[in-house]
Amino acid sequence: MIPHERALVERLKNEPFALLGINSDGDAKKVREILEKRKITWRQAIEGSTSGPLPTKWGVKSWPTIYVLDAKGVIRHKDLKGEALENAIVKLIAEAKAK
Amino acid sequence: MLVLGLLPAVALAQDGTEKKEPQAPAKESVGQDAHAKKLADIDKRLGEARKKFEERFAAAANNEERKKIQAEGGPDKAFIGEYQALARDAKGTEVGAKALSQVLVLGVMVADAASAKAAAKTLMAEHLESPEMALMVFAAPQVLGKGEVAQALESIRSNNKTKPVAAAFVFMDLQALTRTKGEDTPELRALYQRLAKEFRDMRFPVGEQTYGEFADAWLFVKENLVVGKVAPGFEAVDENGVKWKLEDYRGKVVVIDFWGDW
Repeated sequence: MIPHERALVERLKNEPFALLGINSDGDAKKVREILEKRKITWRQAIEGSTSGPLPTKWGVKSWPTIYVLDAKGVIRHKDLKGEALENAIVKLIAEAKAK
Repeated sequence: MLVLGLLPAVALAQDGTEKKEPQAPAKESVGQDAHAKKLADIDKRLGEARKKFEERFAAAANNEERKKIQAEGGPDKAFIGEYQALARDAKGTEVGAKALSQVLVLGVMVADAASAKAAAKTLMAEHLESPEMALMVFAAPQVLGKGEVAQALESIRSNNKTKPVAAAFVFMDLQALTRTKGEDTPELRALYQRLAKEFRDMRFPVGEQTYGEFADAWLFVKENLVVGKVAPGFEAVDENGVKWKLEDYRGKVVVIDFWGDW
């Protein structure tokens, strides 16, 4: 998952696209170590654990859970992965640029 | 006074109508008052002992020390006897029912099955109409024998008309419905909406959460986190302590990835 995401972020770096990681591994120090080791550069939210505020509020019960939002903030897909996820993102970027 | 203490304040006459017992003398109400005070005192000391235990646990230097503290089993066990004694002294009263409920909860938590089961049986036999029975609705599958659960629950359902018990059954029905029909039926939503409306400020028999909080959390997800809805905004802090919010990314296609490196 992570190598795939890394490639995606790199490929879409000049596009209107953002990957936001909502992390449940632990405190900021622990997450900094993981990000460094895994070469993760995209934005993170430090939630502390799986019962952090955002996973709780959003009712997340399995990890990873993935939401895809269009440029207007509307939820367009939930729990896509791999190629389907990538195709959906590319399509939504095209949609955003067309407007 | 002891004999009077055994008499329930309200008894059912043979024709089924409520018959008030003769007014209890002042001495009796002092006895009940003392029982209530005793209950509050035990609750308070249990709360303090738990807090102390948690503080010790939190202050432990390493995992080994934490394991050691955990192995002691915490303070709950030491309080079961006190609640049992109070339940005997205050037999048949609401204070007695509350003391039995505590025995039941603590018994389940420290795996003292015998104490928990005995308390459950007494609650069923003597307090079937008490609001304390809400706890039994939750605990029955854990403390009663497999063959006894359904009958006990049916007995509570048909005899107990209190609001806490009604709430507990809505919760149980909602769980059963989720198991059999999944998360997305209109019937399920109606049960959550009922909890949020009718039992909003009532707490679960154990813990601090209210039914309103519980139902709101589910309804929030079902109403907002669905395809076609604008994602609800949130604020977050990154690994360097920098604050950001979802709205910062408006105008971009956004993937929100709940993840962990495990």
